[in-house]
Amino acid sequence: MLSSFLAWRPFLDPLSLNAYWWAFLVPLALGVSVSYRAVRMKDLSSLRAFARQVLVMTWQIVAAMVMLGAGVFVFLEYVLPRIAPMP
Amino acid sequence: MTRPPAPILDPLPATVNPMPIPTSPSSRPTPTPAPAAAPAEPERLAPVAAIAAWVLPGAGHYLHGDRRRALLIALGILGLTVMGLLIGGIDCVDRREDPIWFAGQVLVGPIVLGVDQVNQTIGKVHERVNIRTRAGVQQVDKYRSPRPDEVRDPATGQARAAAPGQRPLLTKSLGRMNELGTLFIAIAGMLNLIAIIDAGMHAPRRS
Repeated sequence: MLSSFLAWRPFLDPLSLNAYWWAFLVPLALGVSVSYRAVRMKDLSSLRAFARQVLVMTWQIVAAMVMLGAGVFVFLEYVLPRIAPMP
Repeated sequence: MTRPPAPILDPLPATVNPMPIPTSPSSRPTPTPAPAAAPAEPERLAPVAAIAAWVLPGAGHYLHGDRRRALLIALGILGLTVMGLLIGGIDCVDRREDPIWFAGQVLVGPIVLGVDQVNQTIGKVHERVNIRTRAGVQQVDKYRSPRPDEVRDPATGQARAAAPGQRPLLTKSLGRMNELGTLFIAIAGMLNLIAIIDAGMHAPRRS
């Protein structure tokens, strides 16, 4: 992994972190939260309140995606085989 | 001789009060009228701010004097865009190969148009291919990413074999990293659409 990082040219090569794709959910949720809260919050006079709202929304997105993934996993692995068993 | 129509409902006897009135109104606390809230300023259309918000994320709110909000919007949207480019490379923005994703990405602004132009001009190789049509065989231009053993000839734009140890200027982005990079920039575009609409229909807020 280190050698692939050393050979990495920013913006020209894609990162070779295909095995850790799931970890990018956190910065994605953080970016979405910063942008959305910046537009939607009525009072931005307190940056502390803004940061708190951003962290709460980031947590909500990540938790919702994890629960959604777990739900789909349970459905596909346990529920669906009972409904339509494979021959 | 006609009789008057019978009443459908009997009138209440005079002793029944149809709407009882509290006997001692002074014993209840009388609600004090709420202080009149300052009337909210109505939304107004601001097309110049909307265009500015597309040209540079956050610029629409900056024009409204909402500087802190503008900086935070720019931080979020440009941060997502740069992160997407770092994850998947500039090959994630490609109007020829991913036109539907590009439609979402271009909402970030001219930055994405510039990235696509760089990708098309220095990243792709150009070749003429023969295609068979009803009118006969025709030559058309085709753009594609160079294979790992090819480089782009800067003079002609066509592919040529790479020298030993030589790599193409841009590496084709594939798999999860391409998906993630494309998604980051497309989501940034969608969020900037929200910012564009908010700047274009401006209602003053505290900042």
